[in-house]
Formats: sequence, structure tokens, C-alpha cells
Amino acid sequence: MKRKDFFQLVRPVTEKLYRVAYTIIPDDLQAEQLVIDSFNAFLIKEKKMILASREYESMSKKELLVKRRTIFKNILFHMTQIGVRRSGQLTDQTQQTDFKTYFGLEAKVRLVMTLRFDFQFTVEEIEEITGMIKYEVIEKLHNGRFLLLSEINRGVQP
Amino acid sequence: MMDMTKETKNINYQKKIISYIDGSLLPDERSEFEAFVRTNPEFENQLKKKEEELNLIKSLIPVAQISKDSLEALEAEMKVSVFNLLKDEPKGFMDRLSSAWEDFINR
Repeated sequence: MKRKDFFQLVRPVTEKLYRVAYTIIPDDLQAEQLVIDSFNAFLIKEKKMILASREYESMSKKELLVKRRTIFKNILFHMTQIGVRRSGQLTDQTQQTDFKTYFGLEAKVRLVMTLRFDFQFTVEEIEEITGMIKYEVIEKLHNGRFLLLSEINRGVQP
Repeated sequence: MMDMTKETKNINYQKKIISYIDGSLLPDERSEFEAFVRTNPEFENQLKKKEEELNLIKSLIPVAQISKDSLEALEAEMKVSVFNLLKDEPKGFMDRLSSAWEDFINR
């Protein structure tokens, strides 16, 4: 696939990548940097596969959508690996004033909640993206849901 | 084999509500669950309550927005990465020429 075609293929997921990155690191600049770093890690790892893949023009609309989703999930895999580690090293994330309860959750819990409830990924897809085992994913979903609801029940503002 | 009472059946399906909503039920279990919901109106109400709770949770999850300028800058940076990192090793003069031409027309 030509480089310009590959860029056209991934371009529509940029905003979604930013949304996930911001979930892991709630800071505009850090989230943008995380998108770039994850994208570069993906390009380096999958260079051969991308260059050897079929030409853009020969793919049907459905094939392009499937390919785009696969690429999106692949980039998210790298984002998880880099982002979760990085979020643990950053100390200034608590500047986030909106959605305090949500950003008070552990980065991995936030990530799993966003993938499931914002992007509607299945538990199996979240397993692939995060590298967690199924029961860990389910546990994080359960904990996140429980913590958010108990804060609401205690009358704390979201 | 013992017949399952309606109550036991209800309890078994109640346990599956979260998995159903989570999307972690297997396709077979999912169809079985949906069939049970269709035939049990009281159970359908329980499921609705759980779904309302889920909508509340969704409202507590932020959807980050990126400004138009930042998005354009991010896309530009991604484009540079694509052109820099996806270069095939040129095998000869024609390869070098075609790579340089592609770089030129896409910048």
C-alpha cells in the first residue's frame, strides 16, 4: 500500500485515538504526545505488513472499514503499553477538575471503562487491546462501575 | 433430571445481566438470554433498570474533545511519521526517484 493511501486510511481514527489517550493521561499535550508515540511504535512494528498490504483502490468499502478498525485496535495496543506506564510516572494529572470521580480511578480501570462504554468494544476485544486476561477486564469493569455509582450514591459530584 | 423452577431460572438469568450488558456472554448464551427476556416481562423490567444504571455510568465517563487546530497539527505530525517511517529501502535509481517523487508530491 502506498504511504499516502495508508495515511488516508488511518486519518479518521486520529480523534478517537486522542479520546483514549486523554482517558489514560488527562492532559492535552501529554495525550497528543501519547497518540504520536503509539502511532510511531505501531509503524515501526508493522512496517513490513503495511507496505506489503493490498492496494487501497483494490479494497471494497467494507474491507477498508475492517482494516481501519484492525489498525485502530493495533495502535491502541501500543497506546496501552506506553500510556499506562507513563501515567504512573506523571504526577500532575490531578489538575483535571471536571469528572473528578472518574479521573480518580486507576488508569487501567479508566481505560477499560472507556473502551467498553465509549467505544463499545467487547470484552474479548479489550483483552486483545490491553493484553489483560478476560477476568481482569471484567474485574476492572465491575470495580469502575461500582466506584462510580457509590460516589453518586454518597452524593459526591461527578 | 430435576425440572428447574421459574424462580431458580430467574436467579440464573439475573446473574447473567451484567455479563449481557458487558458483552461478555458467548453468542449462544446471548441468544438464550434474549429469548428469556422476550418471554418474561418482569425480568425485562429488571434489565431496563440495569440499563438505566449503565446510562448513568456512561454520563460519568468524559468524552475528550480536541480542538480543530490541535487535530490538524496532530494529523500533520502523523503524516510526517508515515512518510518518514514507512520508507522502503531503495533498491536502485528508479526506486530512489519514485520515493523522492512521492515525498515531493505529498508534502
